[in-house]
Amino acid sequence: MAVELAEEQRIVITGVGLTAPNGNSLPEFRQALLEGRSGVTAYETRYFGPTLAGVCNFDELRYQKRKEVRRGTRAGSIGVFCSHEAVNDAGLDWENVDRSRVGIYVGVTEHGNVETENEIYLLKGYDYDTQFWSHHHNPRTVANNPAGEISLNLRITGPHYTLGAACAAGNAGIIQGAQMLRLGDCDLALCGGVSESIHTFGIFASFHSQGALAKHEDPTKASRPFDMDRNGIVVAEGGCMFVLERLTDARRRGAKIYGEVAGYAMNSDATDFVLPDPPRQAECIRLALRRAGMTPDQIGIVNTHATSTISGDAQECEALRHVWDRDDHATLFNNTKSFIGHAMGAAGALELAGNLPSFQDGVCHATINVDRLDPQCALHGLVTNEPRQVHRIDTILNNSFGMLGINSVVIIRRV
Amino acid sequence: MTVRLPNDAGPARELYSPLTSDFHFLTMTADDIRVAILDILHDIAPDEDLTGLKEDVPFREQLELDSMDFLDIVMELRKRYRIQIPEAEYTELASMASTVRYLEPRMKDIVK
Repeated sequence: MAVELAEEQRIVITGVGLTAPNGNSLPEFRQALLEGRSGVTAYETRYFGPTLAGVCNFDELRYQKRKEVRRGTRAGSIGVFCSHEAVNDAGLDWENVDRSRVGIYVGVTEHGNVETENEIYLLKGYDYDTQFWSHHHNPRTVANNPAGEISLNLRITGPHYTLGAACAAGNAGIIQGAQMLRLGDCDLALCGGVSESIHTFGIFASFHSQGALAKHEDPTKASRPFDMDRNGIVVAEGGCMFVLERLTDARRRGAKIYGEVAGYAMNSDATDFVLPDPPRQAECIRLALRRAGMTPDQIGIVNTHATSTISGDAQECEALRHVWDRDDHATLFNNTKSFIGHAMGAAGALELAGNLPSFQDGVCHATINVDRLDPQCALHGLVTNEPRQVHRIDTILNNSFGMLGINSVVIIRRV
Repeated sequence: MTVRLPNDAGPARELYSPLTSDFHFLTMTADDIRVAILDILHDIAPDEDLTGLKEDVPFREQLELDSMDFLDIVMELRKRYRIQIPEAEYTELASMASTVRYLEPRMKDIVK
């Protein structure tokens, strides 16, 4: 990627639609982040029993019929809601948009677990006789389902697919959207990520078995990255879809521009199924910076991936120290999972969205629940518990990493 | 007390819970089948107003139903009443009248 791109190769964000456990629009979400309002709550799931989760309360019927909700998946409903909101926010004359030139790229950590578990649960009531297995199973569980439901609902006839990228998926969706616009494969990209993961007991049980599921008597305190008492992940549902388009198109139609995709990178650790590898994470960050033509100290905010696990948070901090290797920089570091838990495939997209208003208000939202900062995580510039007002934010770097050693970094700059 | 469907291998369906010691096995009439179909349609097409549904007009001309919905009708009849409908006979489910006509002999022994 050239640093000085031709105008038609510059990709900008012009619409944001989201649902998070603490807000169903960017203004609501941002306000919750600035007020320190958590979206984590007590939650109970089949077989696993009482636990904690980030739960969304968006209105599924705002953009879907009851039948669509019944037939489809929660991930599909989240995607449909977020996509409509993003299109509305972008101020597009949707009726006159050439929908064969719209691409849909949705990041997912996993898909199909919820639907398969439900079907097996129901089948148990019929003594596992498979003649009672639903014909809806396949269309609900094909990997493109969330993107496909968006296509069906918004009558988009351009390409649609999901990107399975573990917890790096939100960033992967954005990157794919930017790349497809640059290739000329579409003129508008609806991209980001979704998560329905709180509806599968398996994700809770698996994190629990791994010793990586958060516990706390106060749900709002359970997700506490960088704190000495952190003890694991809070699983969350949610979604965030962006409208991306070429800067030239956005300017032509006088669109509001949130920011420009200045750089991105994805790479792999190639070391372990679950454990991160700080040198590769650092490499990914450096690659994104190089592509953006930036040095680390030109980054205003780094939104960390940290999930509130003991080793993962410390290892990300180690990776960040590889890149920000002096303490005289002005870069700020924050974390959005401390408010909403880990929204899996939606995490990268939601966390980026929550920081975009910094370009307007000059505020870096905090990392909450840091009562006793772990010295291993005491990054210079880490914003804890209270938001920090600065003169101006021009760039945001968004980290999202996932299992099987998948790393992703997106850099957005003010236009 | 719960009365189970004949040959019911699945979960118990409480079709009739007598409050007194007097109870009779009532079997399904054409009207009962009509109500059962409406109940299924209500579940699979929850956005539709079924009050004015015409007996002899195909469902598809009155409701937004596609092939997956018709498979839902077949599946719900299988789940709720253990009725097996061969694929070649799916066309019998075109309208309320044809559905009731088709199901009446097949459901006449089902206890309601």
